[in-house]
Amino acid sequence: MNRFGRDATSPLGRRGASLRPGAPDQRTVSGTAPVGQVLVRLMFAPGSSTLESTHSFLAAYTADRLPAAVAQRVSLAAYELLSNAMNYASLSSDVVLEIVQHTDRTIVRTANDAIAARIAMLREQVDKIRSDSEGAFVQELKRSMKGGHTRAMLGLARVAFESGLKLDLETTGQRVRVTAELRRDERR
Amino acid sequence: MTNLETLKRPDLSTVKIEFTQANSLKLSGTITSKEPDKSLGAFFRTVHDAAVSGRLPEVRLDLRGLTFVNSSAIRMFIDWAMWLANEQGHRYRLRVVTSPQITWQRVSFSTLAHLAGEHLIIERTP
Repeated sequence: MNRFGRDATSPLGRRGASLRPGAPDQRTVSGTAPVGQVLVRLMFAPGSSTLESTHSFLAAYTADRLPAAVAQRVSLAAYELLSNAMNYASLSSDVVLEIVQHTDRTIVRTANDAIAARIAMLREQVDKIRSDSEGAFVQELKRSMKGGHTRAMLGLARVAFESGLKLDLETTGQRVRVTAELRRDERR
Repeated sequence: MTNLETLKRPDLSTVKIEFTQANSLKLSGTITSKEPDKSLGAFFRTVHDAAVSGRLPEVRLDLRGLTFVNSSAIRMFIDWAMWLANEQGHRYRLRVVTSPQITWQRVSFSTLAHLAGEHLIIERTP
């Protein structure tokens, strides 16, 4: 059992899942935004194959806690951000996934360590998506069509174009945080 | 005449694969595995090869029950469209039935239809 009284070998992560619904979010992306409510905080060991089981849990959880149209979009963002983080995370630390509810927006974010080259590539991709999400999505579809071993960043492009969430990226040394934000007035 | 129903379907925990009528395939559930191309993608390839060798006029793929797919899964549909576009032998029509209520289908296939050519037909049916 871990310190939360949960089975540390649960399918949500070998190092145990930290679920603290309702906990105030003391940390924000920019450090200045209002405190929100952390709906879910999960921690994974890099390389652990948890996407399927995690998606099953989060799809059910968000469907229960959020309006249907929001839940679908947040669920997609959580999957793709976590998939991206697990693919690029260094082995030096865990990958953290959070879903945070503010009064005016819902945020999905991941945090992990990564090498400088990966961070630079990710920053370039996020900037491209932020400037033209549709163009980035089409470009990633075309890259996927070419096949080969190129790892397309279709997932992040989907989060922005398909689900309409705003992507952002922050780094502190090796630590990279990717956020996907859905504002209340953008829900559809 | 080739009967697609004789093809061996992969046994997947989150995706149900059914042959609902002649040359009509229905998928329902979710695709979240990391490498769906190894199982489901390989199955799609056998369907494509069978459709080509059997000179089928059309293969119908009903995805309305597929509520969530990851990006690897979208790449599988892209692959199928590319096999068809690049096929040197018999070219059948691939009719993909999608739901306008499911965002990934609405967005992905609208874009894919523009890129994949005339043999890919996207049908939007609730």
